[in-house]
Amino acid sequence: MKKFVLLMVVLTLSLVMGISAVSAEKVIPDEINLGMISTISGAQAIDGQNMTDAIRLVQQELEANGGLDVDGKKVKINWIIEDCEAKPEIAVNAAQKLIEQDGVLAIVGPNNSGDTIASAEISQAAKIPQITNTGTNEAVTKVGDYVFRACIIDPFQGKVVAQFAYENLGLRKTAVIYDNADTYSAGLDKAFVDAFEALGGEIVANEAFSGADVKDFSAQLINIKNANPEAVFVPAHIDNIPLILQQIRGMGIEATLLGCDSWDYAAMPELVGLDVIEGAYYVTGFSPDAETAADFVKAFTDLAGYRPSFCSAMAYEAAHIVLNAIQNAETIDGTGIRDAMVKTSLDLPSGHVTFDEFRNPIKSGIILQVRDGVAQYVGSVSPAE
Amino acid sequence: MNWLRKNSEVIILPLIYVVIFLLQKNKILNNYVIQIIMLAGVNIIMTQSLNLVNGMTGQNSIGHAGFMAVGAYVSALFSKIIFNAAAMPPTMQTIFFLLATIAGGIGAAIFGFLIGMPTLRLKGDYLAIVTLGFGEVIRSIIRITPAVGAARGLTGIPKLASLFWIFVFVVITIYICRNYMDSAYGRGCLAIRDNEVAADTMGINTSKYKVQAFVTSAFIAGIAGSMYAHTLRYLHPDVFSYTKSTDFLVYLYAGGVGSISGSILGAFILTALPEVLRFMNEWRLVIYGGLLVIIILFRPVGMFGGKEFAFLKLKTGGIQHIGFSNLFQRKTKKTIVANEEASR
Repeated sequence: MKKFVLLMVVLTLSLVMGISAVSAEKVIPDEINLGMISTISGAQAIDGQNMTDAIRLVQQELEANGGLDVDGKKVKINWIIEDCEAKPEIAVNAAQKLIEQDGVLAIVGPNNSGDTIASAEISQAAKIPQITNTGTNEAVTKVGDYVFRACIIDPFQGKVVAQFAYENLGLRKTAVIYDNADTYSAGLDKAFVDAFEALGGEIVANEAFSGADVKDFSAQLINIKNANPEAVFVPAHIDNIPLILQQIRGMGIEATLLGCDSWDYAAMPELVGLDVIEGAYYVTGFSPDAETAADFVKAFTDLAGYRPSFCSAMAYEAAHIVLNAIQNAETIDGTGIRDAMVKTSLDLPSGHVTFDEFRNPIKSGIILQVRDGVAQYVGSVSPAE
Repeated sequence: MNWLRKNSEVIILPLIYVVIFLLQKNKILNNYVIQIIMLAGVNIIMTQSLNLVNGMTGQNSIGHAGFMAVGAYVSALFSKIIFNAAAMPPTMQTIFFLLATIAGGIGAAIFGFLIGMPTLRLKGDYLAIVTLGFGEVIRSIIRITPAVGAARGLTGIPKLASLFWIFVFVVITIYICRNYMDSAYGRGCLAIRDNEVAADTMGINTSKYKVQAFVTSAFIAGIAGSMYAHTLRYLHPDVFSYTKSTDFLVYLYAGGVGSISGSILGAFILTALPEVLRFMNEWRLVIYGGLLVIIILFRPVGMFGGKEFAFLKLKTGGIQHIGFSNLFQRKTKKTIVANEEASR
C-alpha cells in the first residue's frame, strides 16, 4: 500500500511538472520533422519533381546555416517527403503517416486541390498546420483553420487586374467577356467588375457567353464594340482564349487586351497569333523574371538544372512560411506554428506575403506583357485592401 | 461445442475485430494503420463485387469504379445534402448512414440493371466496352452537375464510416458472395463461366443469370462507394477514373480470380503493400509493379487461385483454368466449341 501511494505521488508530481514545463516557456527541440506531400508518381510526376527540388533547395539553405535559427538555437530540420500518386485516399494515408509515425509539426502540399482537401481533414483533426502550394480551389482553406495556401486565388487576380488597369495603365472604360457557366471565369468577372468600379472606373459592357462549346462570340463582341472600351478583360479558359481574341481583333476592336493566369502558357502567343496578342497584359502568381525572385531562381537553377516553375516556387514559399512561423511561434507545436503562420509577414520570391482571415495569401500579382511573342515581366501589383 | 468447432467463424471473425480494436485503443496501431485497414476494407468489398462478375460469371466488367462512383455520390447526397446527418445525434447518424449506404447500393444497382439488361443478352466481350464507357459517362456527368460539386468535388461529407462499420460490411459482403456462389444462382453463373453454350443447353436462362449477378455486383460496388465517401469525406469525379477500375482488376487477378478468399487477400495485401514500401521513396511503385509481375509469372491463377479459406466451407473448385494468363486462350477454345455447335 505504501508503495502504491508513493507511486501515485511520484506519478502526480511528474505529471504536474510535465504540464508546468510545457506551459512555462518555449521549449526548443533539437530536431523538428516537417512533411511534404506531392505527386511524385502518377500523371503529375513533373510537379512532384519540381516540389522535391524546391524542398532540396530549402534543405541546402538550412544546412549552409547549420540549421534553423530559433531564438539563437540551431534546430535541425528533417524534411520527410511522401508520394500521394495524385489520389486523394493515398494523400490521406500520406498525411496520416507523416503525423502519426514521423510526428511532423507541419505539412507542405499536396499540389492538387482534391488531394489537399482530403488530407487536410486529417491535419485539421490532428491540429497540424498544412499549406498547399498550388491548390487553388476555394474549398481548400474552408476545411478548417489549420489549412493555408501559398498561391493567390481567383478573386484576388480580378482585383490585381483592375488595379493595374486603372492605376498603371490609366484606363477608365473597360469591357469584360466571360463564361457564366464556369466558376473560374464568372468569379474573376465579378471580382474585376467590383474592384474596377470601386476604384472609380466604368464597366461599359459586361458580356457573358455560356459554356466552353461556344465558338462564335460576335453577339457579345458587337455590344462591346459599340460601347467603345479602352480595354477588354477576357477571363476565359485556354480552349476559348484564342477564338475570343482573334474575333475581338477581327471585329476591329482595338482596345488593350487584359487576361488572367489561364493565359499563362508558353505556347499562348503562337496559339492566338503573334499580331493579335502583341501588347496584351495578364496577371500570374509568379514570374522568374521578377527582381524579387532573382536569388531564388539562380539558386534553384544551380541546384536542379532547370528554371523553377510556378509549382516549385510556391512549394519553396510554403516551406519558408512554415520555417518563419517556427521561428516566431510562441510554442513549438502544431497550434503554436499555426498561430504564427496566421501572422506571417515575409518577403518571398513572388513578393511580400501576409494572410487574410481565410488563410489565403495577400501578395502582389505579377503582371506580364506579351512583347515580340514572348511574355515579359512588367511589374508587381499589390491591390490596396 | 461440436457446433462451435464446425462454425468457428462465429468466434474468429468478431475476434479479429476485437483484436484490431484493442490494439487501436492501446495506441499500438496508430490512426495511419487504421486508415489503411479501412481503405483495404473498402477495396475488399469492391474486389468481392468484381469477383461476382469477372470471377464467378466469367463476364468482363472493366469500368467497375463507375458503380462505386454512383454509390459514393448517391450516399453522400443522401447523408450530406438531403438530410444533413452531421447535425444529428450519434444514433440517428448511424441509422442515416446505413440508409445512405443502402441508397447508394440501390442507385448503383439501378445503373447495373440498365447497363446489364441489354448487353448481357449478347455473348462475348461487349460488357467490357459498355462498362468502360459507363465509367467515363458517369464521371463526365458528375463533372458538370453543380448539385454534387461539379469539377470542384464534393466536400464536407460527414465522417460516418468507422472501422466497425467497414468491418461489418466486409463480413456481410463475404457471406453474400459465399452464399451466392453456393446457391442455385451461383452454380448457374459458374456453369455460364465454364461454358456458356453448354449451360444454355442444360436449360439455364443465361442472360437472366448474368443480369442477376451483375446487378448484385453493382449493388455491392455501391455499398463500397458509400464506405469510401464516408471515410474520405471528399469526392472528386476524377478519383473514379479508369485507373481506379484497373486497380480493382489487379487486386482480383493477383489475388486469385474466382476465389472469394483470393479477392479478400489480394485487395488487402495490395492496398497495404504500397504503404509498407513507403521507405523506398520513389522506387516504391517500381517494386510494387515488379512484385505484381512476379506473382502473375509464378502463379498465373493468382495468390489464392482455386483455393478458399476453410471457414467459408466452399467446395466449388475447378477455377484453375481462368487465371489471367490463359484468359484469352479460354475464350478461343470457347469460340471454337461454339462454332462447332453452330456448324452442326
